[in-house]
Order: sequence, then C-alpha cells, then structure tokens
Amino acid sequence: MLFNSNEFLFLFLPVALVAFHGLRAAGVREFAFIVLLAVSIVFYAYWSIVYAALFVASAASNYVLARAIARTGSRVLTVFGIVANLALLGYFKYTNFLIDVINQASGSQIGAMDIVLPIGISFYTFIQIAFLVDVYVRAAKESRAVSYGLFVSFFPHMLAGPIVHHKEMMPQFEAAMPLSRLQRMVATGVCLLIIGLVKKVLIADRVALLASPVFAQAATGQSVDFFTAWTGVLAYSFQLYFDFSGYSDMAIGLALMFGIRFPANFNSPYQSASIIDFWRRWHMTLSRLLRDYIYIPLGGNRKGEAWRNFNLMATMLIGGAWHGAGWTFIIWGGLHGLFLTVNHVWNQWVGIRLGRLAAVITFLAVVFAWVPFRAIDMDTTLSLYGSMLGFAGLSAPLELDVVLRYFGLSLADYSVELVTQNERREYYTNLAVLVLAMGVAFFAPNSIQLLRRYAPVLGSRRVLADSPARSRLHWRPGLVSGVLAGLALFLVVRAINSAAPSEFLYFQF
Amino acid sequence: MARNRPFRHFLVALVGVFALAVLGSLVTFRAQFGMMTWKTAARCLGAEAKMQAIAALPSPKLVFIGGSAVHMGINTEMLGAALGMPAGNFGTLAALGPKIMLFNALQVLKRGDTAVVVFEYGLYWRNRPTEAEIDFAMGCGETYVRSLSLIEQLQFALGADPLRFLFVRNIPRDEELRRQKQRLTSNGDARFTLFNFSPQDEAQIERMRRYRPANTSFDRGSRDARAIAEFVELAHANGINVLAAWPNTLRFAEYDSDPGLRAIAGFYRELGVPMVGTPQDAMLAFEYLHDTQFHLNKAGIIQRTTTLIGNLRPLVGEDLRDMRSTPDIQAGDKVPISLMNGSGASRYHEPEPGKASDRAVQNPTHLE
Repeated sequence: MLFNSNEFLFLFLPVALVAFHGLRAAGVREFAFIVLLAVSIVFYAYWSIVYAALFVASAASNYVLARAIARTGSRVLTVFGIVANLALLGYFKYTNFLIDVINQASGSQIGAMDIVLPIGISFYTFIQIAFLVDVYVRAAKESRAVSYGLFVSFFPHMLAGPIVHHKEMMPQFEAAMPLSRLQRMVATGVCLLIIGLVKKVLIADRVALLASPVFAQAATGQSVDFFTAWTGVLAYSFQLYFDFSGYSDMAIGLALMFGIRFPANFNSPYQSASIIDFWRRWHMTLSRLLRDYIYIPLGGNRKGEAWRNFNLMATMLIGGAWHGAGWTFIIWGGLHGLFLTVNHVWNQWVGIRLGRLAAVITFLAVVFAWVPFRAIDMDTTLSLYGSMLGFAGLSAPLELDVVLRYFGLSLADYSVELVTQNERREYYTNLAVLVLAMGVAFFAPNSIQLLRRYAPVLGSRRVLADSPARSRLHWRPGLVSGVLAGLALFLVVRAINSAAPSEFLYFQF
Repeated sequence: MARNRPFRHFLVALVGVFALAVLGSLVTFRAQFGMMTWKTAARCLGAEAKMQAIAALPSPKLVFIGGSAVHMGINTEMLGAALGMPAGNFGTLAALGPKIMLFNALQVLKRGDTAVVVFEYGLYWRNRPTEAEIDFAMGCGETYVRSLSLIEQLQFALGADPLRFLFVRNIPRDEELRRQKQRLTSNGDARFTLFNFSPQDEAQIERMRRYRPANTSFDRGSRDARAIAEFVELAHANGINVLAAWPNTLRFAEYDSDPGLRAIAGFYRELGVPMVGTPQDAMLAFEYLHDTQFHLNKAGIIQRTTTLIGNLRPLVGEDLRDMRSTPDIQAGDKVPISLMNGSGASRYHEPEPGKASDRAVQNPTHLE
C-alpha cells in the first residue's frame, strides 16, 4: 500500500488513527499499541502475505535471539544472528547478482533464480542487526515484545525508512505521548504528510516523466544528445530527492500523528557546501547507520589519514551495495568514497574555501554519481557520460534557437544540434516543474525548517543548528494554513486519481 | 487548551476544506453527466459519428480500433475493397486510453467481426484514467462509468477537473454530430479534405524533422494492458476475432532493437492474438507525415494501407474465413450485453437505417 493511494488516505489511515487514539482515550494504552502493531503488519501484508509472514518470522526470531544474547552475553549467538540476517538479505537481494558474477568470471551458464525482493528487507534487516549488536555490547535494554515489534514494523518507516534506532524508538513506544499534546502533534504530522505528498505526487512524479525516457533510451543503446542527457540526469536527480525526501516527510508526519517522533532524514542536501556536508544532509539515518556500524568499527579516522580514506571507501562501497545488487550501485558508492576522500584531502592540504563555487561543484559531483545509480548497466552509464560531456556534440532545444534568432543569433552557426520533443506541451510543462523543483531544492527552507517551532523530528535543534531560527515561511497553524493545506491535499488526491504513474524509488532498495 | 486552539483551527479548516472539495467533486461529477465542453463534444460526438458509421456496416467486418493514428493512418474503405470484406475505422483519440476505446468498440462489434487493435506506443503502461477519459466519461460515458467498480468510479470523480463546469456549454448536439459525420466517410475514415488535412506551417515541419523515437514503455500489470487483455478475453468468448497491428509512425533505426516493441509483441502472443506484420511495416519516412509522428498525409495513408492489405491478406484468407464458417457462430450475432462489463443495451447495434451508411464512398486518391 502506498502512502499516496486512495486506500491508504481514505481507509487505512483514518481507521488506524481512530482505532489507536480511541483506545488510548479509552484508557487501554497497552492495547492501543498492540493494535498499532497489528495494523502495521496488515499494511505490509497488503503487498504480500507471504512476505509479511517472512517479516514477522524475522522480527520474532531476532527478538528471541536478542533476549538470549541479553541473558547470556553470548558472542556466538550474536555472530549467528548477524550472519542469519545477512544470509536472509543476501538470498533475496544478492543471489542473482552472485550468479551473474560467477557466470561472467567462469563462463558458466547458471540460470538466474526467480526471486522477488521483499519490500523494505534492507531496512528491517539492518536495524535488527544494529539492535543485536547493541544488546551484545549492553548498549540496548531488553524490551517488551510489542515495543520491539513496533520498533521494527511501525508502518510509517518499515518500507523505506527513515532507518530508526532502537534507543530513540523503544522509549517512545513505552511511554505514550500525553493526550494534551495530541492536537499539536496530529496537526504537525498532517502538515508534514501533505508537504511530503506534494513533493512526491506533484513534483517527483512529474519530473520522472523527463528522466525515465532518457535512461530508457540510453539503455537500448540509442545515442542521447547533450541537452536531453543533461535534462534527463538533472530530472532524475530532483525526482530522487523529491521522491525520497517526500516519502520521509510523509513517514515522519504519519509517525507524529501517532505521537511518535522519527529522526530527520533530509536537510536540504542540494544546498551542501561539500560532499562531507552532503552526507550529513542526504539520507541522514543511513549515513548514521553506516558511520556507527561500519565506519567506526573499521577504525574510522583513528589510525591515520590513509586508513581513514580506506575506511571511507569501504563504507561507501558497502553503502552502494546496500542500495542494490549490481556493479552500478557499487560504482556509485565508489564515486562517493572517492569524492569524500578528495574532500578530506583538500581540507587538510589545500584548505582554500571556494564559497558558492564549492556548492556548485558538490552538486555537479552528486549529479554525476547519480548516473550509474539510475542506469541499468555500465554501457548505459558510459553512454550518458559521453553525451553529457559533449563527446557526441552539443545540442539545444529548437525553441531556444527560435528565441535567439530574434536577437540575430543562431545556435546552428556554432555547430549546435537543434532538438525538439515529440510532445512539446507536456515536455515543457514537466520542464517548468523541474525548474520550480530546482528553485525549491536550492533556495527554499526544507520541511523540517518550516516546522521547526514544533520540533517535528528528534533532535530538531541539533539538526537545524545552522539554519535561521525565524523565517516568514515558517508554518503558523491556524485557519489560513489549514485552508491552504486542505486545498493542497485535494490537489494531491486529484493528481493521484488521474494521469502519471507513481512508485516510490526507495522501495527497490 | 488555549495553546491548542491554532492547531484545532488548522485541523478543522483542513478537514473542512478537503471534505468540501471532495464532496464538491462527487456532486459536480455526478451533476455533469451528459454535459459537454467544446472539447468534450469533439471527443464524444467524434466517437459517436464513428460508432454509427461502423454499426451500419454489414458483418462480418474488420474494425480498426485505436487513437488518431488509426483515424489518420488507415483507409479502411480501400482496405475493405482490396480484401473483399467491409472494414471500418474506429480511430478516435489516443488520450482516451485503451479501456474506454475498447468499451466503445464492443458496442459496435458483432459475432464474426474482427477487431484489429492498433494502439499507439504510449498506450501500454498507464495505471490511471487520463483526463481525456474522465472528461469523455462525464460527457457521454454514463454507461461506461456505471460498468466500473465503485472504487474506479470514485477515482473518476476525484480525478475530474474541478473547474470543468465553468466550460460546460449548451452545445447543439445534432448539429455538432452532423459536422463530425461530414468529416468522415461511410467507413469512418477521415475524408481527404483540406479541413481534415490542413497544410502545416514551416515551424511545425521544422519540429517534425527533429522528432525522436516514441516512448514504447510497456507494463503488463498496468491498467492499459489489463484493459486490452480483458477485451481480448471477452471478444474471444463472444465469437469476435482479435488481431493486433502496429501503429503507423515515423521510421527510426532505433526501433529495430527496442525492447518495448518486443514486450508488446510478447504480450499479444501471450493473449493468443496474432500480430499483423512487423513494427517496421507500419513505419514510414518523414515525407509521409501529416502533422505529428502518428498522423500520416494522404500519400502516407495510401502507402500504409497498401502495406497493411498485404499483411492482412493471409490472415483474412485463413483465420477470418474460418471464423465466418464456424458453425456455432453466426456472422452478425450481437455480443451478449450481459458480458459487456454489465453495461446496458447498446443503441449502436441497431442504427437508424440510412443514417450513417448512405453517404457516398470517397475516392481515397483524391483530395477534396
């Protein structure tokens, strides 16, 4: 079930809210959380009952294992738990990739297996491994089954994050939010949900119509011209941001409606002044997980510069593989590992501040790395890189040339190929949305900043330490903002009932 | 409690405005059944003119179903004459999507007929109704809407243009229908008139020279693909033969290795629907285009139709004649209405005599 679907917005969510808050108001708080756990599993089972059973089995086994580890302090059990979780993830996610690698290396003809990747398996596997490790090192307390179940399965985060940590989630499921704050949290949550829906439905899905055909064209071996390649790759960069940050806003908003705060997941990443800064702002909960459970255990920066760079590269390669079983994801991770290393070396040995130019370079590097992230193979990646770098010549839209001719200029005089689109009106409408999206991503405050007065995420002050405390754009609850939010929700509902298709990109990871 | 007041106001305003907007959508959607804007009139009455023309043709007949690529790409009169069986052009508007096009086609198909689906690339992947489909349904598709599930009806109501009512006009239906019919031959083909084939300006020709291969996305689970599969199943169950042909479009070498086309071919194969020719058979050079990548000029239509005749001849020679001689299927039998998505009786099965079929046959080699 998607957050941007009729069945979720009109049926699942109202029923879940009424059931949960009704039971709480009736004084049966414990039962309310059990119901919340049940509806979360129903939410998952709506996609696949078989995989919901797998998920329940995974959560139950990890809970039993965690209790055993807490009781015995057994290292063997901990290792067993980690290996079992990784084996489950490996089977579903990496089996066919491994077969492909073996075939390529040995020339064998092992057939691919018919395996469907369970949605969210990367997310729920990682948070459970982190929990087992923390139980072993006594950083996590034993908890009630319902709290653990909700920590793993609470429906707003279970499919695509934010990747929550037991330390910040379990206590919230133990001590529920006071009813006196209910209206505030529900209002803040609804506001975030609507912001997320607008980002996803009105921006990301529109911009996707510019991106998908370009990558599909390159994937079939067709050459893509310079202008179209840049438009497609930029469109994908903003599609991914608005899609995933929109999903995160929705998840955070939905959790708030049940009185639960999630950690922030995005903080205007395309406004970053460096790649190091970018990784503090993009998919922040994954960065935190990779830092705490891979980079630091590997040694972090404690063994000198060379080891730090090695550890960074290893962490980013693992991060790449986490996103998908394919060389393109590993290359994406490797590129970011390289960028981070260059960033550290620059800071240490050159140290010159580049100001706004640094933000531009950072953004271009990120965009450059999105190409393999989205492309289905290396041939597609290289073809698009060639087009973007102008190896196949330069190109520009015919309509631009028409405008320039009024000023006595013609792009044709500069050997620029003039291109046009088959469906011009739709293309330029989508392009206008892309330009708007770029303006929002580069210059506007993000959703967490807009709602900062109401602390929508855990550690809001820390997350937003470097952003202005006051702004005219900050959300002010009241009649006017309520009317605007109602209209925005209606536009979203109208959009999801006609026209463009919709899927969340991060479900595939 | 006072601290909570702004939040309460926010929530009340939000829920109130949203509920009003949704309720307004449901009410205006229902209230606008049968009401048309000028755009709706062109869509609805254009389709109705075609349906009347096709319903007037004797069975067994060939009916070409699709968007404007069929309307401005195939001359069914020429094709029918060459194959020795009546043929009709049910090319309407690709933006309507396959589901409603096929629903309308079922109103005019009879046992023993052959439906040739010729959908443009781009009609195989959508999961939701288009705005054109919803507008069409509001203007003249009440029966269609009633055939949909309650969830789909809700989807139509919520997806409808909330400002559509501002553009609703009291359109002289009969006059507009007559105008639409005048643009068609008795087979439903576009007449070769300057009105239908107005000359293109230099800017448009310049743009057309720079066209690229069309989007050939295919999604087996999409609403579009499911609608086609359901139609095929229903047609087969009712003695209607189904063929699939490729849409006429501008030739590009890139299509030769396009996985989308392979997926479409595989889809029809899976449905047991024979394909007419190859995608390349329906691809033409630039000089045969009229005003878009899917619309052909007169020379293009003749060229395309000639190729199609060659592709169809073996199929007509075997399958269709077999169909006509199948003992349990009598040519001309109506499709049982109960099987047509639960819709009501179709007025197109019994056209008023002399209304649609009495126009002079047009000579496709002359521009009027």
